[in-house]
Amino acid sequence: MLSEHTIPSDYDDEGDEFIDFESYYSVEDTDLNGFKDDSDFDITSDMNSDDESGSRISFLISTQDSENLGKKSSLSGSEERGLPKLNYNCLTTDQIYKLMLQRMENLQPIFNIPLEDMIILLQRYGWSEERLLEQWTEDMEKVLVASGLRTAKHDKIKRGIKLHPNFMCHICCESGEKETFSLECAHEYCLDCYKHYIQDKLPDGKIITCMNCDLALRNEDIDKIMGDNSSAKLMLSSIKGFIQKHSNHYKWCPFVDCNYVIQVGNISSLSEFPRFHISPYVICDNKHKFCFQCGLESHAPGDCQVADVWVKTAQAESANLNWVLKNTKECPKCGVNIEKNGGCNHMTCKSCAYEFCWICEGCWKDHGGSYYECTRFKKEDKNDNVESKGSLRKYTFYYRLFSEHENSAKLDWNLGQTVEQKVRALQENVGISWIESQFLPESIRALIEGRTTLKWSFPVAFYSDPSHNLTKIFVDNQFLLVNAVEDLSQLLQIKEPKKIMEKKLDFYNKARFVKSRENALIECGRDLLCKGICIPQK
Amino acid sequence: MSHRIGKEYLALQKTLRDPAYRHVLELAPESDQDLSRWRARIAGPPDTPYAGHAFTLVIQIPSTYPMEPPQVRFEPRAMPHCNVDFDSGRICLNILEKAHWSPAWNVLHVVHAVWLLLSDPVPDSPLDVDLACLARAQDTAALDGLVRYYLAGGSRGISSST
Repeated sequence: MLSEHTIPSDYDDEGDEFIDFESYYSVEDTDLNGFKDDSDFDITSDMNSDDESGSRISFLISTQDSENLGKKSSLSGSEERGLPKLNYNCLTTDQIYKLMLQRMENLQPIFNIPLEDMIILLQRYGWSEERLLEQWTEDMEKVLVASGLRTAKHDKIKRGIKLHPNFMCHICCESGEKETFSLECAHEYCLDCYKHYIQDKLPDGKIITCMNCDLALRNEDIDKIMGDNSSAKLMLSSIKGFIQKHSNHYKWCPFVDCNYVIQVGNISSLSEFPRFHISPYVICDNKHKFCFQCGLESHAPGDCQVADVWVKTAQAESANLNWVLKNTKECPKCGVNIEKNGGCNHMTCKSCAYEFCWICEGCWKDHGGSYYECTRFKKEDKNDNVESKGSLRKYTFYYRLFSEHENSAKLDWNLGQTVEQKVRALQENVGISWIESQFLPESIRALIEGRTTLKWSFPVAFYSDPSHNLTKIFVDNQFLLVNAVEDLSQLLQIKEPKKIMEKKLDFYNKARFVKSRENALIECGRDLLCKGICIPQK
Repeated sequence: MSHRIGKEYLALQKTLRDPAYRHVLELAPESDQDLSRWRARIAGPPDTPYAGHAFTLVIQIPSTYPMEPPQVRFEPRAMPHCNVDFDSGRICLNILEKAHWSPAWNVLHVVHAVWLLLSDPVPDSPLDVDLACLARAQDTAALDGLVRYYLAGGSRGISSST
């Protein structure tokens, strides 16, 4: 049944004697035929079992709580000994928030102020504990006043909601029996106006102050005024700020609508990866695989450099992104794209509050007196290097393949949705247990991962020397994976539950075959990179 | 929220008589039927090249006022100032931006703030780079002279901001 996947024998004749063909072509083909027991098969094989690796790095647990979280280590695409490994946790935003609270509790004895006020302080300091501590020890009173935790004058008015029989609110100018809110500053306004005000300010994700002075509202005040837990919205932006501040250790899963965060306790092994042309892949609890180094989806067989150069080239080619490049600039500090829609050249990044000059992208403060020159300074067009027609055609060819597989992968996601229904149908109609029907979702995962690898193999092929024998082998491997993926995709189109059960073994075999072809392609791609045959450049 | 702007209009009749607001020559809606379009006339602050001139401000009150700030600009090609775009009259002033606005402020506060800007230019956030250069270099003689020249009807040509 699988004979179609065996290797054409003519390769042995054309072989380059320096290349070990066996390692690319004979991948586990024997396993497929000798496959007997269902329980043998596990697509998501647990890498933790591979404890023999010498470079395994012990994981430091920063909080007690995280001990309960499942520890994982990265799938490096290959399980060769000597390759670096990354240990990580997958956290939800709630867990991150707990972690933040825990860090705050640890700091609290130094500050000796309520936890609610600690939150405001850290928000004000963008979760940079070092900077806060430094300024706190310098001038405690100044920090408190600047953060809106204390008024300059000490009125002894209690903050909170009060009921007045006759109150004239200076915001809406309406009077009558009203509920009002004020902080210690005694700037008192009606509750409705405060609700509108908070509603408007919440999306900014910044500390909300009194409408008339700098005194800060605590989370509990916000919740009391709004009558719900609106402050959670504010905290979400705090969580984002915290992750941005500690982005070495934390990264959001880049997949749409996925809110998991990957935490890496010990990042010393990260620098090891590029040397081996592999990337530190992590998998979130939604089974999304992405690269912890560059934040992109899994881009094997390419390494981060291939992915980076490819993505940038692709962006330059795309008309949409051309617009972005033309009309926006990346914040020089955090990389967020900013569109200038008016105003002066003094820009303040909404994301990280960095102030810079629109023209030269330098720090505004360091600008000195020279920044007016900036308006006269014209950036040279970088697009003047004329590409030869041939290389452009080559690029378009590879890019078309790349995007075709990207589109197919998107369709496979939809297929994944119907698979869920199929599983349910199997359970109800054929009386199959949940665990027995798991081969379906596992197959779809193998399919999607196979497609992703295929997709990213085109950039590697594009940047490789086409005359080299290893490149030819790589392209052949690509072809084999294409066939394997399409076969599996065909199989997943079957709709009748009975037929699916009949083909169960087929599902296992084909999924496994995709997996092994995928590993072979990744290994081959890594060799191209290691041997310097694939050199990504613009 | 039109309640609030109406109240402000009524209260203004009294407050404008206060000598502290002597420089606000006029502040009223364009017509009593539509309270969303206002006009103000302010006198140039003394001891500045603007002294002796009067300037018109065009004010638009958004429907979300006072939760959102009013939009204020000078008449086009009438105000040479380093924080004002000469061609359009746009003003770069932080309290006119949503992020810095507070509902506790009113239209008079805004007009007053613009008036203060005339005597206290902020060359760090320039909309008119030529004038800001002079302000930055603290060459008041040149700056004041240039402003006086433009105010007297001197040709400005094509604005440097385009």
